[in-house]
Formats: sequence, C-alpha cells, structure tokens
Amino acid sequence: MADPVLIRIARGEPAAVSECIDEFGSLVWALARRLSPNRADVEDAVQEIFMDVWKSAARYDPAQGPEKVFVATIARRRLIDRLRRHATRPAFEPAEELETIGFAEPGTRGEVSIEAERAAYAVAQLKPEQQQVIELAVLHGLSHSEIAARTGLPLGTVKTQMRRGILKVRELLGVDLTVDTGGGV
Amino acid sequence: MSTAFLADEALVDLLIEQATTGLGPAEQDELARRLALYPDADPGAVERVVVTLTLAARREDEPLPGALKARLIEQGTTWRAATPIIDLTERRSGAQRGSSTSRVRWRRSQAGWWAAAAALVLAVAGWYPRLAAPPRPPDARELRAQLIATTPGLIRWEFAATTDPAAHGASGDVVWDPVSQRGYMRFAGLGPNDARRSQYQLWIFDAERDDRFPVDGGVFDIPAGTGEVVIPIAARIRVGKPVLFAVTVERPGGVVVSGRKRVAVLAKPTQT
Repeated sequence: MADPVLIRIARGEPAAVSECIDEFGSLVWALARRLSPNRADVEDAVQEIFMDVWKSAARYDPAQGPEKVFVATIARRRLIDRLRRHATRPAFEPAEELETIGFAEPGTRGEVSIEAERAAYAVAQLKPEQQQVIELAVLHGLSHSEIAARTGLPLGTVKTQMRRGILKVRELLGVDLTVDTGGGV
Repeated sequence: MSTAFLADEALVDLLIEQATTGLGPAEQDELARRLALYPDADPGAVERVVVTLTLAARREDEPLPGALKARLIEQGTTWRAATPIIDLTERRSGAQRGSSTSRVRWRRSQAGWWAAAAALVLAVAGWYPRLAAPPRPPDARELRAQLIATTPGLIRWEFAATTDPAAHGASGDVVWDPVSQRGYMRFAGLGPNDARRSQYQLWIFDAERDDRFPVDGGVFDIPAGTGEVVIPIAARIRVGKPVLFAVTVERPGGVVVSGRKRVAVLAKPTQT
C-alpha cells in the first residue's frame, strides 16, 4: 500500500502535491464555502489552507489518526482565523441555506472515513436540541449568541446543550482521536 | 492525561468557542488562565471532536473549480521546488504496533551542525547511560502477564470457536480489567488473515449498552505461521459491564456496526 500522501509530500515526491489536491480538494472547498463570507474569499482561503497543509505535512503521523482529520483541523483553524481577522461573518441569513448543510444519516457516507461514520452514529444518539446547536456551531460557524438569536433559546441553554452534546460525542467516539497538527498552524 | 478539566464548564465552553468561532484576546487570556489550573489537561480534546463532527456532514460533492485547481497545482509545484526535502526514513508507527522509534530528519550539509549535535548526544549519553540504550519496552505477552499478576478482579474467559472456517481448531482466552479498561486476547490456531482482504475485529458487549451497539475493541491481524498470539484490546469507549467478547471477520480497517455475518470466536462467563 502506498504511503499517505502527506508523507510523500514531506518526502518531496513531485506528484504528491497534485494528489493531495485531488484527495482533499472537495473537503477543503466544502469547508471554505461554509466558513467564508463570499466566493472570492473562498478561493483565497483554499489556497492558504493547502499551503498550510503542505508546510505541515512533515508533522503528520499516521499512527495518530487519518489524514482527513489532520487536513480538516488545519482548514478549520485557518478559516476561523480568517473570519476573525476580517471581522466578517458568513452570511447565513436564509433558513433554506442552513437546511442544505447538516449531519449525515449514519450509514449513508459510503467510502468516507470510519471516523465520519462514527461521528454520524454519535450525533444520531444526541438529543434533538443538542444536534441543532452543534450543527449550527460546527457546520455553520455560528457563535453561541448567534445560535441563541436564531433558535430563540436562552444563551445559557445554548451553552449547556452544546457542552453536553460535545462531551457526549467525545465519550461515544472514545478518547483516542489523537491527531495533533502541532501548535503552529 | 487527566480529564478533570472537562468538568470545568466555563473552560469547556471556551474550548468549544475556540474550536468553532475562535476567541478574542481577552477570551484567550481567560482560557490560558483556566487551563493553567489543569496541568494535565488535553487542550486539543474538544477541537478533535469538533473536527470529527465536521467530517460527519452530509456529502457535498462539488469539486474544486478547475481554474482554482490549476492555480493550486502551480502554487504547490513552486513551493515544492523552493522547499528542502525531508527524509522520513523512520517514522513512529505507534505504540500499538510496537514498531521502531521515529525521527524526522532534515538533510543538512552543515557538518558543524551535526558535529555539535553529536557532541551533545555523547555528553548526554555520558551523563545518563540509560538514555543511550533505552530498555526494550515490554511486549503484549509480557504486559498481559503483568496485568494478570497485579490485578485483582480481572475478568478471564475462554474463547470458544464457532463453525466459521477461520476458527477451525482455534482456542484462546481474554483478560480484561474493568478498572483500568485494559485487556488482552490470546489465540492459538485462529486462521491467518490477508489484511488486504479482511481483518479480525473485536466487539465487547456491555450490559450497560444496547446489544445492537457493542463496543468496538479494535481490529487486528493473525499473521501466517505464528503459534500463540497475544493481542491488546483497544476499546474505543469505556466498557461498563462486559458480558460477551466476540471476534468477527470484517473488511480491512473494520466497520462501525458489524453485520455479524462471520463470527469467529466468542468468550463469555462460564456457566456453572
């Protein structure tokens, strides 16, 4: 079996860079679309993210988890940094827009990683209000107060449901999701 | 690593905000202040959950736009040409695999740097001889023996073979410590698997959980030509009260929920 593409990038294999784009392009594109304020910003963000991924490739250790989680961690951090730097928030005003993105039903993700399947099963075991606040925060990037405004729930309730839901998912997933991208990304 | 910090609600709220929307300077200071109260805390624990949840989103199959992909390839090619090559001759493959240690080594031509590094190693090795020749870590067989010798209340059940072809003539046992959540399986005669086609997967049925969702105890291989094999158990989540250990044959990498089409061996309390 071939080595993971990130290891081959660190090793300097010329083809690995474009393989990495093929393998993770859709994932990074989807994350950037969700967490960027406009299309132009999405493209800039994707370029920044891939540069981060390539520079961080040498830190990837397969024993610590799948490449997909490593790449998604870097992407989320970069996107959150960009949003804060630009003091802009994604425009998620129409409710229909929110409904197009959500957690998958367990068992419907085909070839996607086993971690994603586990997460889908874990989410399915949460209470509906926990699923809702986690979906708005994790998939749409809404803050606690934005979720409170959108759902009509008191801010304290949003925080409580979010905390309980996240900790429940952590418990259901187990504690050995140990991907570490290092502190420098 | 302690999980006591997860009981600090304000700290967990900050970690969630950090992982979902980021923190401002004042919040970052507050997070640092609170984390300092828990020196053993794992500050990345919440982010890992958030990232894994990100992957559980419904599929969005829109590919990268072609022009952007072309720009990325050009950007990557330029970066690659301008960046030193890293020689990954040895890489840690994890304690579970028990393989050699890892290092990431940069190719450097500066002899002085190497000379200085070598001098430092020699000096350290001179002061602390044990660092120069670290003791061999115990293998699974030794760890199993140690667990049995030191753990009261250990569960120890015999495996019984089913009619599955892989289990013909198989025997073995499982030991499990409910307190430390550690355990080992020992097999003799369990058929070797081709890891490209299938792997064995352990399931732990827990009296405190729904029977439909036993705890995943990890996937493992039985190499050809081996006699007795000891396999550490890697339960994904805490097991409350185990009532049955079942080993199934699954696709490479294992499955989230087993179809239970091929159950190889089972271990449960002996009926008296």
